Amino acid sequence: MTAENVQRPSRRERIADRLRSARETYGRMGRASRISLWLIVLIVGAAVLAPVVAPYSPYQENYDRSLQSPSVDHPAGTDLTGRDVLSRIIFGTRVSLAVGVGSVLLGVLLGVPIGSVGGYFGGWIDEFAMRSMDVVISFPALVLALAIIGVVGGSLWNLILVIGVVFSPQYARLIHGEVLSIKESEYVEAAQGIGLGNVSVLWRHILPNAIGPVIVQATFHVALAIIIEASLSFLGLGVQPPQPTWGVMIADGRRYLPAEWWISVFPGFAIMITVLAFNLLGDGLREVYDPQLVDQ
Amino acid sequence: MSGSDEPLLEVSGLTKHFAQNDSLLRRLRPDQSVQTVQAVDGVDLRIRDGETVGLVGESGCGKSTFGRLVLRLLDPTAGSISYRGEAVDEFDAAALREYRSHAQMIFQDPFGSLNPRYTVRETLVEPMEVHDIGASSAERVQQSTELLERVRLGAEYLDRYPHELSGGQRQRVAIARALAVEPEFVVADEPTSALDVSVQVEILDLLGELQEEMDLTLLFITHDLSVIRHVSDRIAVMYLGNLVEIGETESVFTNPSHPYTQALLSSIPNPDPSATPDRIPLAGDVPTPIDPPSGCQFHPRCPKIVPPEEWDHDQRIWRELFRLRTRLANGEIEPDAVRSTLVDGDERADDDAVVDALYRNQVEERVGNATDRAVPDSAATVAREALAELVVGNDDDAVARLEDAGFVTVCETEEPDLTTTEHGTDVRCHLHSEATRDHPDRDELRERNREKIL
Ligand code: SF4
Repeated sequence: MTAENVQRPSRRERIADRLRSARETYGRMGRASRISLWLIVLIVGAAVLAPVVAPYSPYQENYDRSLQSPSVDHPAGTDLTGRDVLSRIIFGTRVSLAVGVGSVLLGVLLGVPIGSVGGYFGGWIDEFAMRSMDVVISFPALVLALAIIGVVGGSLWNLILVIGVVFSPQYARLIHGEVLSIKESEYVEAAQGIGLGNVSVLWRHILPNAIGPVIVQATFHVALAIIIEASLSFLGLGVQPPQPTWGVMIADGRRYLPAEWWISVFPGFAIMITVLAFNLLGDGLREVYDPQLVDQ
Repeated sequence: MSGSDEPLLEVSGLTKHFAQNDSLLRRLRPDQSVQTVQAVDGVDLRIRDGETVGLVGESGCGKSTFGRLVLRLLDPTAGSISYRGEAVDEFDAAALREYRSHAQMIFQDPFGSLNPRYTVRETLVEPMEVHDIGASSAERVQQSTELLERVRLGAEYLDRYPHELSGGQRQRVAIARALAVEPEFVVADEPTSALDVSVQVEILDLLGELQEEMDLTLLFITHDLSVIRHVSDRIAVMYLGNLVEIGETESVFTNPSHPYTQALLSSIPNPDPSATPDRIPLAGDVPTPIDPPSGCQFHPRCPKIVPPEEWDHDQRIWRELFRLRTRLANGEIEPDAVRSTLVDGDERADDDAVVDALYRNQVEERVGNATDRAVPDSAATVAREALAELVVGNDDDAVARLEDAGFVTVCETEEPDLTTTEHGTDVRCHLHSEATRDHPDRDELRERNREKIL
């Protein structure tokens, strides 16, 4: 198309727009959630750069250094086989984040289309979509995840899949309510009035205005998914050893409590800090997206 | 401003019923029923090429629904819409999209009608993209700039977001969006009512200018008659989903024929003294369209309601007694409350006293407010008898007493037809419908009434 040379600046503009609105959002967040945001950046950085950051390999066994308490060489001590706990925590970040982000992404990818299409079109499509989501949601999340994992076995991908499916109805409901209210707005009518098809109306006009609460919920869910992953791994139903994950590390270290406390307490801290960071960020985002909620 | 006689848009029998609290589950349950709201109820209207038709009515009368039906933003329950001879109600998706490049809407609320995440540029370019207007993005942006200038904004607004604009500026952008597809027909749904008074005038002027520049046909929906006089060639007055009067703007303003139009006109501040008499108060609120009144839907509020021919006295007295009947039927009169007031005031509070008190404030005072004539004795007796029935608890008998005595009217039993008046306007009212006068049912009614007290 001849438009090519015109399109490019407009795309750049769009990115600039995104950045601008992201900066705006950041500007409106409180201090706690700003700190959390940077903490999360740090955690993500640690996960991505794990081989660089970690002082040792997480798999390297060294029986000479078995069960050493925290020292300069091993700031978080070593476990029974002499593996460096800090390095294992750093590599464990990868699993936790992969499960946290992956399952939430899957939940959003499943729930948002189902809920928004149902809400937008209404009628029997809506009844079918939302009733099937009701069925999923009527089981307690952890119990459902446990049951499925018990059947299909534990692995990183199974965890992501199961937790994602368990989360999806909540996104479906959330977006459903938003879409229901937004589809009554005049700008949606106007979009239909200019002849835009249903898919475009939904995608361009409704979803961008409905997605705020989903983002907030997703932030909380990352934290929850990390906890579920750790719980399942703790029970031996999650990611299988020797892959280091926080849950497995706590489970292993539990046998050495209280004397060799560092084996389980440091991964515990890692979970706590990560979960806290995501929750605080979620709170901050909620305040930005939904100021009324805070007023109440 | 008048155009040719060829109808651009012809609507007949257009009807829209909304189901309330509808859901699949509710439909499956036998103990629940779905109520319908009769928002638009069989409207006929022709709009000629190039003219501006003003659609007036109180809020909730169905005028906005009508505008949306005409544009097929809502699907009609019944009736037909034809645009340049093509059946809009039968359009498939492709034809409908094509129709959208001819017919556009300007919405009421400029704070709600623009996507908050769209810049002005995106808002204006999108309709062009949908309808393949402009060969390239650059051309579309160029056209957007021209549109902005048309609505008296400049290119500097292209990259603004709605929250950076004032109400008037937003409405200009919304108008520009409607014009982006180069339409022939525009429905403007209360385009000024959400704006400050000073801005209203600007927007009205702008619409008028654009209409002339671009040769638009305009359906202008409003509750504000004073606005419409300056913009419309013709006026259609809507009440509870029906058109009650249609005519040239000047004819309607100088000779309003329907009692509802007269009441609306009399409520305009600073009326033209030669055209409108004193303010005509409307009784009560607009009834809900869920269960609209029978016959002429305006009859519970109509100041000119037609008494039976046997009534030889002042119409206003009859009207007040008829309204007494309506209030009795609706259970609006509470004798117990009156009784306790009497008791509190240490007055006599037996049944007779209550009837007296009721008669005083339900009949005598109201008639006194309406006219200086006295209630004829026979009618007063009937009213007292009815109130006496109410006081002893026979509500139904109270209503029946008044009905038997001839306090029934053609206005509640028959729906008036549209009749052309001497002023060239079309009116839906028994005061003007000759046909109803000679209606056999009506003769029968008259015979029956002869034998009664009146
Ligand atoms: S038909 Fe009767 S009630 Fe209706 S407007 Fe005319 S006079 Fe009034």
